[in-house]
Amino acid sequence: MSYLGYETQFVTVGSASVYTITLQEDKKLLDEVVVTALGIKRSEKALGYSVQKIGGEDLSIVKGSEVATALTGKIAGLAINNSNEISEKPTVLLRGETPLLVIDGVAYHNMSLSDLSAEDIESIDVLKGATASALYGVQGRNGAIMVTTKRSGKEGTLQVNVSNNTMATIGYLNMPKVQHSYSSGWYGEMSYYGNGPWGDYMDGHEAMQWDPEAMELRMMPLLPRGKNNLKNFFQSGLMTNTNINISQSGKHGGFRVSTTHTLQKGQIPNTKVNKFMVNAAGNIHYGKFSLDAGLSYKKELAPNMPRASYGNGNLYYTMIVWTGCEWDVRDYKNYWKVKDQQQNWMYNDWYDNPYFMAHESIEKQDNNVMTANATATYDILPNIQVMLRSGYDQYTNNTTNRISKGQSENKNGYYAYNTVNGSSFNNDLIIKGDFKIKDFGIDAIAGLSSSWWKNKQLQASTQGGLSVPGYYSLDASVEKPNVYTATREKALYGAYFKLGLSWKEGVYVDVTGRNDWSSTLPSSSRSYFYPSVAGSVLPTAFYNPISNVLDFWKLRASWTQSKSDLGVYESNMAYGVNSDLWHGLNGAYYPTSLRDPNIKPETDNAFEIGTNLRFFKGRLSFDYAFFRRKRYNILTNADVSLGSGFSGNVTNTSEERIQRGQEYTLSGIPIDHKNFTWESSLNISWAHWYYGNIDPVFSSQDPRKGKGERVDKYFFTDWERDPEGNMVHQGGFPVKNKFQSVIGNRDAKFVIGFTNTFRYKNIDLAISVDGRIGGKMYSWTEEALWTTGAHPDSDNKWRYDEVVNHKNNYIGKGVKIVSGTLVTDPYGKVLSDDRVFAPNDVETAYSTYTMRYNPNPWDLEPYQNIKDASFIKLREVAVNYRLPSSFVHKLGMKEVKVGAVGQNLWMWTKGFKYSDPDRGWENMNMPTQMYLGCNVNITF
Amino acid sequence: MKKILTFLTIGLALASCGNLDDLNTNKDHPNTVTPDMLATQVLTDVTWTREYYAHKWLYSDQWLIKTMSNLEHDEDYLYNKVTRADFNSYKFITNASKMVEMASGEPEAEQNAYKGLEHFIRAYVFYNLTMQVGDIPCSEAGKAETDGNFTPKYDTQEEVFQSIIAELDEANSLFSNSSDFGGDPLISGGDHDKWQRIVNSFELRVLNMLSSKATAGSVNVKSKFEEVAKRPLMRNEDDGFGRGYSDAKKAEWYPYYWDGNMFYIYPVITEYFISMLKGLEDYRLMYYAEPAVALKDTYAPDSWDGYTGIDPVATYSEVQISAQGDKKSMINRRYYMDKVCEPILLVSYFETEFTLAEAAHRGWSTPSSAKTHYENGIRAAMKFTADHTSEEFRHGVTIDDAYVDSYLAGAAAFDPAKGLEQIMTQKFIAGFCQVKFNSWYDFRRTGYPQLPLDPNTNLNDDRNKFPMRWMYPENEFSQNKDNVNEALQRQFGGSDTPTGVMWLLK
Repeated sequence: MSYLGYETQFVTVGSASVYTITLQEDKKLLDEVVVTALGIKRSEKALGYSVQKIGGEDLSIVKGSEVATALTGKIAGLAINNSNEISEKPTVLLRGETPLLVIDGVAYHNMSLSDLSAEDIESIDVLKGATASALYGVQGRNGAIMVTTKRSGKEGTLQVNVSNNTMATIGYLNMPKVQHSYSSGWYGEMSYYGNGPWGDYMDGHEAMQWDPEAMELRMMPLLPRGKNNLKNFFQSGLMTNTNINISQSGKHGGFRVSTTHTLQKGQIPNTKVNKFMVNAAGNIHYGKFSLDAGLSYKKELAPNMPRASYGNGNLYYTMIVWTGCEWDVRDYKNYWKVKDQQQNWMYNDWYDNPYFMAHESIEKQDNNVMTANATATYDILPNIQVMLRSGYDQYTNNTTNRISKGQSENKNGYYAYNTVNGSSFNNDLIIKGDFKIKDFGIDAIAGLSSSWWKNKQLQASTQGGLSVPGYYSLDASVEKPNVYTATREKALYGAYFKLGLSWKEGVYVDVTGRNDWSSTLPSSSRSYFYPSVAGSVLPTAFYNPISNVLDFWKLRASWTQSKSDLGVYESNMAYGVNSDLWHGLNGAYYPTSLRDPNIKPETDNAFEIGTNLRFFKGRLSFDYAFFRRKRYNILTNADVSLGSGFSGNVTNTSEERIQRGQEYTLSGIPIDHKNFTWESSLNISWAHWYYGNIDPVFSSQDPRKGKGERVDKYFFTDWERDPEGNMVHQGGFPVKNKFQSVIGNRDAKFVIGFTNTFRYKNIDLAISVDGRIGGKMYSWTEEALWTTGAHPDSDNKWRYDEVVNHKNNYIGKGVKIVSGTLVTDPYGKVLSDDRVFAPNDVETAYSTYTMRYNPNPWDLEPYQNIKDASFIKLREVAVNYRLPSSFVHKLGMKEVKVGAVGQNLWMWTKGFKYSDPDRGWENMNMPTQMYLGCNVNITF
Repeated sequence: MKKILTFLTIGLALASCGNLDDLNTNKDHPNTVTPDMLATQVLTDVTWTREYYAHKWLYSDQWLIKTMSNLEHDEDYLYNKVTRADFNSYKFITNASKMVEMASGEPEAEQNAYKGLEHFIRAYVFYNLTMQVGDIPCSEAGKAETDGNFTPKYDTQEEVFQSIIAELDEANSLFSNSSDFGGDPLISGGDHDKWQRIVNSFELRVLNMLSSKATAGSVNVKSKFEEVAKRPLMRNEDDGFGRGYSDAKKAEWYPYYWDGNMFYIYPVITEYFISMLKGLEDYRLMYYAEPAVALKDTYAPDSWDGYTGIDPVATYSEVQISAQGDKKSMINRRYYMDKVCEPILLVSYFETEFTLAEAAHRGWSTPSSAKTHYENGIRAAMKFTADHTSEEFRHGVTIDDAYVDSYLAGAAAFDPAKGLEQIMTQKFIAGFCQVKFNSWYDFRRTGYPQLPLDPNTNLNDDRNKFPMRWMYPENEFSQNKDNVNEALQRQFGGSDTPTGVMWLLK
């Protein structure tokens, strides 16, 4: 059946006598209602800025443990970096910056998308840009993600819904590889000095090695026993998401309770995250009064969050970077030689038995966050309403670290306890009215807001090791334990208004203003005001000669000024103190940055235009936005010459930065047949920062950071080159430049998302692909594999000659200087060059050359292995089948959906072979886990 | 209802408006501190032994002067590749000036001590920087807060040396007129008399580095040296400027102690240094090094033949392969097995004696003869090493007065004909893991002791020479461009390279 404004539905007529058919609003045809700043619902056509909405059902197609992962690629301008590390939440960037998160109208300070369950989300509205969130003042300058949580459903019904999504790892993408020919060791000799697998050729000859059975060194054949160490060590990952919710509503209100459990089991043994979430919300309507309130609580437990970057305690660091594959990890499951004191392991220094790392050198987390909110509304007149909204959140995160005696870095053991807790209390009092005079409409809002935020930390750790092996407590500290505490607090008060005018439902203008008082600025500049103006015109409301083709056309434009305050205590010029610095004496130091006492807030002027077109009764729609913001009075800790006695100056510089970006969304229904439909949406967006004005003192004086240049240039030290680009060698080795060069930009050229839903009868197939194209990123993993001799490409004839034939015959590709010198300025500009070249012909040891060419990754300045970070990922695939309702009803259920789901099933990368650039940076990134599983959703 | 709500919210919003300043004050950070706390900080900072990179802090200068190599991996200094200097130490002068500010309420005699300390810190910071690079910001340095100067101009090296001498003269007179002060974590322990000696011994070093110059600005180098040589100077290593270590707490262990330092397995001694010690039959070889493990069954630990080192100018793969199978002498185990080991001295008594010996040898007037100062230096250095090497690390040889006497009568007997070389060689040996970079600067100045160089492995810009300087920090080219370029123009014709010859060495 079909009804104007509602989606066409097909019902199979069976033997039942009564059919309940719920008409679903067709969002494509009617004007969409979106949630805007302060939680106010408005018709999208009235908005002069860009807002994109996504329904909760689109976030539940594949339910992992993170809502943000499900959002990836679905909103133009919203880039989400998904990490494969169990300890890392996805990073959410809107137009390149971190947006404000608002849940049911409250801008909590301590909540993240990770604290929400997909099943509790009714919808997410992404307010892009500063105009959209102008009423949030300082917090809203980077746009906002507005989450609306679910409430009870239709009046008079009790609804119970049970769902489960379970997925298991079926494989890995971009797994690192290592060479299998050479053992641990150094310059062709098998040894345990911790120099990486630059050792002996593994042809089965006898060599002194650790025997994990006898737990001693003895002569054994040198063989590549551990070719699959990483895979053999990994456990199969698992991701489950289970939700039960119940709701009911009556004449004067309703209530909904929902509980969610997610379990994420990581690749490394003893890593998992258990998340429990409870959410209860209800509302009351009585005459002119209504009240909506909710409570939520989340607990997250993890037995171990392993180190996710290069260094002692990192799995790659130990297993693939610095040790060879002459040992088989499966022989080391019994990791004690002497319990709680000594490992069954070949090294005393640097590295540990991986099973020891997983169970005896751990970081345990127990994270809790709760929220409470209430919104009371009273209709003074039918068109005038007053609203009071309060939201409170509180969190406590406890982390305990324990490291057994016998660990490589903390040889005498370690224990630390860290607790961070905090709360925020946020209030808004709003009065709002709607008036209509003939063709004109006026809506006005005025409000006051207050927000307090406080954060406390207490950290204590043992010093000098543990007094008794296996005893983990602060009381186990050999010396007096080390204690650290910190408190941070902030208050922000605001007053604001909005005035909206409309004419004939075809022309709309909104004006807003807000004044903030922030505790982090000095009293002279504490109070500051931000205005915004936005407008939209719908030509089709007045004249549309092609209404059979064009449904709707909107043009929009907006301008906003938004300001930003300082961080907490950043204006304090106070001493730092070091208790018991040396021999019982206390130290104190003056800040290394000066703070300008006359600072003003930083200002952004944002300008945006856009258009939205819809054709063929909603079959095709196109949305475009162009935005530009100028940031000035930049409040920064500017680098200054260290000769000034300080390393920085916290001040407003006269530097300006300009951000420009564009967003395109094309969506439609290419096929719309009776039994088969195909819905598709493609979005592409980018945003880049450029230097505007340059401050003569506080900006960099490097001409490559001048006006008009990109801010995100990737500076690195290149090798000296001849005019043709060949590397210059000295003594057979490449020569480092004395200046930095630019190898491109760090930010992606553009971010792309492509979602498709195919519907055949009761079967839905959803496919979502996303990616980031362009941008340079340093592959710490590859650099580390090269420098330690573990890289598979280092298994070549020169290496064989060096190790087996004792010949140092590697000749680096490039030239050497016969005479003359190159003189450049400090930025690399050639001042004079009278060099005369000859081909490099100096033979070197392949291993020494390789290490010079790929120096130690901990030297922090990358010379090589800066790669193109482009990737495209098949993020989600889901096939869902809705059981015939006749059958379902017989079982006493309302709806049953079952399906097969997959995540990360395929990926294309341009420069990254051995790791996944999706994390946003690369430092020993764990391989991407391919998940496959099933999905069940039952409504009673 | 709504009225109540309205008043409630307005009340909440306005209630604590007046307290916003209070709210933004970090209670964990004080606005005033005591001068002794700043003294403790600044003195620990200037003698810092960076925890994790202890090996680089402690031994990198030894790589440059070829006493030691490193089996961990190839390092720039091993092959004379010198990169950029670091200007971070300017922040020490900020803390030193705050220390004097905070002392304004103290008795005058104690204020004088803090003022004297500030002058010393300034001199010490400027000296170390100018020795590395040449011209540096000095007269305008550290004035961001007082004068708003974020782009200090560079003074010529000659002006810098003149300022350093003036700072040290001032420090001398202040310490001679002061009481002891609180907050000194070093072996000097806040003793004003010891501090006066530190200042003067350091001033002798500074003037001695100017040995090829008749004047530095208005200062006559020779007469100033002779004047300072008459002031109170260090009398033994207890008067030294440096940090002592303790086994009481992990944080105060010798920085190379094996627990918490995973680099202890890498320092290997060079054949260049071993043969220098063997030639003098110097027992300090057994106190500085371990016999090669592979030779342990062949030779007794006190046998000269059990010690063999790597060739510091061979290619790195040759160095590594020659050391395989534990065939080379590593650093003495006391450096990583003894929590206390020895104090790390930055200005020392033995150094002062060798400086006086060198001046006397040059014909300058000094308290004693060149020979006496030379012998005093050797005695002090040997005693210091012996005092800090316990029986278990001595490999069966004993350095006592009788041994020193025989040493001074034997191969090390002072011979005025090759006096300079002897003095510099003894200073070099005594400087093993001590007086950081001093041996390098002495070599750069005098050419003694002659360090080995192979043009095929040398990575200096000029492969036939040693580097002469460090380049300026990159940050100066982005934040103080005009001033650093002006300094480069007047010194090296505009180019910033390790081969540029600074005023001091011309």
